[in-house]
Amino acid sequence: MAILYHTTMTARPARILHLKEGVLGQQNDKPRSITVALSGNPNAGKTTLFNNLTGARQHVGNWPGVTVEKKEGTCKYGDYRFEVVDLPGTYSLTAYSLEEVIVREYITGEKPDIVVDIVDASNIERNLYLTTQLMELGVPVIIALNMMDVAESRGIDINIELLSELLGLPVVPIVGLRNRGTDDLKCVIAAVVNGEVKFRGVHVNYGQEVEEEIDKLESAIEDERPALGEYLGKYSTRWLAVKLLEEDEAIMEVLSGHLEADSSLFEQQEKSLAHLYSIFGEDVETVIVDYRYGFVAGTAREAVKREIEEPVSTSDRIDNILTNRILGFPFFAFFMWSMFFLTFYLGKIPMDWIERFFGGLGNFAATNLTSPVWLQSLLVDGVIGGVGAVLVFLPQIFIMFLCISLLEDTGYMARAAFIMDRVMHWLGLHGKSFIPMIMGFGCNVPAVMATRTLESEKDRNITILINPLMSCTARLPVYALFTAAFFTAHQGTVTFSLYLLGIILAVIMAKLFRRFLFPGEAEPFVMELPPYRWPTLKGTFIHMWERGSLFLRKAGTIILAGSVVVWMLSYFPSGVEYGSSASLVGKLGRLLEPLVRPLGFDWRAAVALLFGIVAKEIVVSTFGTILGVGEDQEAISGRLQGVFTPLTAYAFMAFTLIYIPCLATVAVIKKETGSWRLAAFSVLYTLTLAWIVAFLIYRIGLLCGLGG
Amino acid sequence: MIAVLNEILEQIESSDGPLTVRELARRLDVEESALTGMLEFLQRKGRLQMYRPGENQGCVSTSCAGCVFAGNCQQDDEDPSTGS
Repeated sequence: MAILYHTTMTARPARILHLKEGVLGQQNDKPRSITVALSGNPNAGKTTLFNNLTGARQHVGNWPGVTVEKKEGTCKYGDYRFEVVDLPGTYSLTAYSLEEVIVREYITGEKPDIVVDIVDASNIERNLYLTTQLMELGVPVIIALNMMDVAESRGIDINIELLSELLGLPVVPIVGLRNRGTDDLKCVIAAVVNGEVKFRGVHVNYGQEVEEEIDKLESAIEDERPALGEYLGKYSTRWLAVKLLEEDEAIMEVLSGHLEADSSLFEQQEKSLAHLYSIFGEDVETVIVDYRYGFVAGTAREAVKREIEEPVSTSDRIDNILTNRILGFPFFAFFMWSMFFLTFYLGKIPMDWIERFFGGLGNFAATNLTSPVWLQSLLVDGVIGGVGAVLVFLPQIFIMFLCISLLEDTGYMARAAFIMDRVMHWLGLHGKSFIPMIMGFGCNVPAVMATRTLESEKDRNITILINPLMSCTARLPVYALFTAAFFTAHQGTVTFSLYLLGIILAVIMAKLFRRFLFPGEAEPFVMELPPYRWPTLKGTFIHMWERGSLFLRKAGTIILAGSVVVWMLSYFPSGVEYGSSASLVGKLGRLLEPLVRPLGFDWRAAVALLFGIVAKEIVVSTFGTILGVGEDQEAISGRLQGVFTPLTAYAFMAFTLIYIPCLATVAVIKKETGSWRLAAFSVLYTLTLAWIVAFLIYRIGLLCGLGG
Repeated sequence: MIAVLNEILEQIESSDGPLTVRELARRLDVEESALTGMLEFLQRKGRLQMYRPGENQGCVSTSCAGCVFAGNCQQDDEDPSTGS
């Protein structure tokens, strides 16, 4: 085999010049036609080389029976006429994609004189994987080592002489974009066809055990020659033997058409597969692929030297800090805290406007609608008081959604899942579980549905059960109401602590569920992070509005209905003081009070929690209604201070965070798991956990003297 | 007894946290793009899972409104009101 040696693109080797003299010096009576197939990975520069070779002399059609584009063209070189075919880009020659089947069927069926394998020198290891398979097809292959300039600029030094020797193929360096090396390639193609360049016939050695079975299969194929006839001539027997070991579907289908099911070839295939499985404990395709990668890695280690590190992208540079093993968590915590700080700090001003609006609306209704009294009370205390108490938090909800949208649109939210994945692994859980959990910050319903991406039922069940512990935005009005009343100076920090509490509890419960209810191992997974990008104003506002409008819709439907029900229970029986312990709501509350008394709550908290099961925002509207102060935040705060202390207020917020997910979430848990038992369990365990956590907060707080 | 592919799985399993492809490629002394090909093969064989947050795999919602990955969702750019 002739060896072509280029150190760089600028040094013109004597060997090429010598070949050129030989090739161009020949005098033929008529031009000799050479079919050249261009093969290579997608984006390796195949089309550029095709254009360089053929110029305007090309035409485009489709491959027979499919819509994959087929480009053909011609070019002349001395007395040679090249018929050039641009094959579809592929990474391998298995039968998993249409393109792969087209390439191998063309090469084996049409048998071109030469296959030019375009290899991207800057990604040489990935590209050489296809080369190993082309080498097995039994056709002459030349490597056109493209993008040499890019490789050089990245400090990738390829010893082309050695690479050519290791692969047993001619290697011609080219720079397709600058049309450099094209002439050399033409010269080598002609020299190969002339027989001036001989091939050494290297192929991947699959190890003694596999090679023995390949030999046996090759013999079995030869034995079937009479039945296989023409078909056998199409492929090399070694390639067929390897495909039989890979259980290649397309080849199996064709062979089945030529041979009986009990033919000796299929019998040998079964024996070989069973024998190799008993040795490797793996399916044979994996073993073969592994050897190919091993061959490529070994070749690259010998012939490729990397002098400088690959340039680090801006995304990678940011990731080095934001997803750093040590710094990742503090940054994650900082972003979360900043989000809550901004939510409450910026939300104050527009919140006052909405409060004034509902205050005016309430006064207007109270002044102008004096009778009947029940209707006035329904409008002022029920509708305006209930819905208004929730709607005053609209600016804060929108600001929080704006922050979440910014975190998503920049690509950070995916990193948050990446950072938390470490915690999940530490607990022996599936890292992918954290993605639905992150989604739970928005709404638990789609988050529970997103667990469909988990293949393991055990992983799914655990993730579904812990998802309601991620604080969704429906809880935000509750935190906003209570932090405004009891932790005015530290609203953001207190809210942040509740979100953190939810994450910690989710992690603990996941560990317990994995240990006692759903034992098993998590399978590894690879997450592809999107690059960082600047968010667009339009996109961010659209995302914010999409979510915020759902909240508005909820206020006009379920929260309004809940407020009317609470008003009715507070107003009746007729003649009792509104919202007093003598009203229906009072009686209901008194009935439930013993359950929450150990937590420091009274009957009004019990009622609010009961109605909050429907939707967590109703906790706020219930207080707005039964305290009879409507949407006036200062008045609600004043009344709440008569019902709660800072300690019981915190315990109440923790209870709201943890207890029974809303009805919609329970319904979706039933739907996704198909189990009423699991849905009922999610209700019972969150209720029990909420009670225990609130009890511990209250009792430990009392012991620490925080009761006042 | 497979070497290269097993080494990938062992590195991922034995890691005490997630690994970037760059870091994994460095540890295995292989080119990043070649490693991507190996990961895709292992995924096809069901030996590991690939997850691209925000791409179709994770999205089952009828609305993007409740999804924190909506910002990364390709279809989201075309029609923000529908899930992909």
